[in-house]
Amino acid sequence: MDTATIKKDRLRYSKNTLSSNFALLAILFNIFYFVSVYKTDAGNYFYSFTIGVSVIYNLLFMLFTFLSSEGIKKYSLHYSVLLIVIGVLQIARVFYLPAKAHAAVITTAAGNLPVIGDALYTRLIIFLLISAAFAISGGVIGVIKNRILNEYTKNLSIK
Amino acid sequence: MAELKLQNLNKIYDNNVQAVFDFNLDVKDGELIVLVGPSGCGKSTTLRMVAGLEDISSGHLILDGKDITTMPPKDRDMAMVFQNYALYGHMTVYENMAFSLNLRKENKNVIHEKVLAAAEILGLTDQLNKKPSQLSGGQRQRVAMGRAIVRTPKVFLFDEPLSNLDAKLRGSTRREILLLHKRLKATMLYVTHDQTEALTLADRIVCMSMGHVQQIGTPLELYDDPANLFVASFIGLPPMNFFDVKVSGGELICDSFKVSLSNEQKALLSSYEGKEITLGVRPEDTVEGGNIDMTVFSNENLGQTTLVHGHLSKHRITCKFRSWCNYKAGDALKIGFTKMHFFDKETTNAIK
Repeated sequence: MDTATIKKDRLRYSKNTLSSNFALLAILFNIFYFVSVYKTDAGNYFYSFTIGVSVIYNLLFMLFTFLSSEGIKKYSLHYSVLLIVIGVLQIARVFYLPAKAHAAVITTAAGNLPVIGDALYTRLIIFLLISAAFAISGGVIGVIKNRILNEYTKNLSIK
Repeated sequence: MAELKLQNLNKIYDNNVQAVFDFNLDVKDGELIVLVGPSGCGKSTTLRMVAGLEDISSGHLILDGKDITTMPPKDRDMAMVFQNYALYGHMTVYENMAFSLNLRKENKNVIHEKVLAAAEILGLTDQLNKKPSQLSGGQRQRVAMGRAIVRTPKVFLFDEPLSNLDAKLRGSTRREILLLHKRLKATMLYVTHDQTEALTLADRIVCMSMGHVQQIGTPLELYDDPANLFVASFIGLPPMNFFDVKVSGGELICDSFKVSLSNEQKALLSSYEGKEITLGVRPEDTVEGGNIDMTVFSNENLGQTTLVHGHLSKHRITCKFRSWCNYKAGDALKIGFTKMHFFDKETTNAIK
């Protein structure tokens, strides 16, 4: 067997740990995001329907990303696509809670204050984008490896 | 090329219990040596000393001319297969077999080729993606062997690898190990308490008792020409029958029977005239017809052979006849001996 073929053949017996680890890193950076987003001292801004949705989304995100991290180990195309979708949604989230909270102003005795300052806002966006990058990369790698493996096993069965 | 020399190996534990006494053995390249003996005889301790899992109290271990007595196990270039397989339950067969090579950070492609080659040899190619829990005992043991094979070590060490398997599987796995040895032509040290394994696998057998080497020889030498009473009683199934007899006037005299000696035997026992010795007769060296009276008390038909247990007056005896017999308890029978072994009563050594 030549090196390229060995590389393909290895896929039959090894797990897609790279994509799986990327999915876990996506979860990790999402955790950094949500522990940061709720820790501002912004009066009762977060006691709203928006934040309820945000909490539920974070829970669902972690559930499905973890499921994907397991499923993608076996080169599952479905979980790879799911991971890409999750990644895209992470990018979309930038324009929801962090952006809205950054634009909102809360009136206190000291005057009008932003709910989220510029520094925190930047940090939140970075966390979400890194999380999205890991999820999308993991998913794309999963799709590519799935195709290589499928093609290789198809050739094997023809032989 | 892997020649192993065990020179005056001793193992003394911290509590001053000595498990192995002055063990000497030269293992030739490609030889399969079986260490056999009852539980607690020091065979596993010897193997573990060779592997580096036990410190050597005194003596030297030489591998291909290099003294490896104090070398750490990982540097000895030996692979050990354990009785309990020692597989990682959360890993697949492939991952288990590749594990040691991954630890050494070998090239992934090289690992892949080695694992596939070993799986091919062991007939595990279709099982590579399974977890150990999905495999039978025999398959698990083959995975354990595969893990040793991929390392291409100089010496393979087997510590009772078949003890956890049922009788049928033990037989088939034993044949696989033999084929493996012929295919790999590797130097192997194999520990077992099962004499069938020892006799069928070994190029040479080391028979041990109480930490001492009793005899080293080919399976036939140990069976045909045991060095002492222990080897004679341990090798052979059913075990050898023993009788205390007196050498007198060209005959062996016992409470239950008298046996005439050939001229050769007379010469051999000339210095024992008037003295007591131990006579050993293997069950398969007894025949129906002769001048020794035997009373049957049980009859076991095994198909090709029949085991007949009985008494010679005060002594018990087991005979193995090559025919289907239907003796009943109390039947009187005349038997003879076709081959006899003689042992010094004091030293228990064979009289040669």
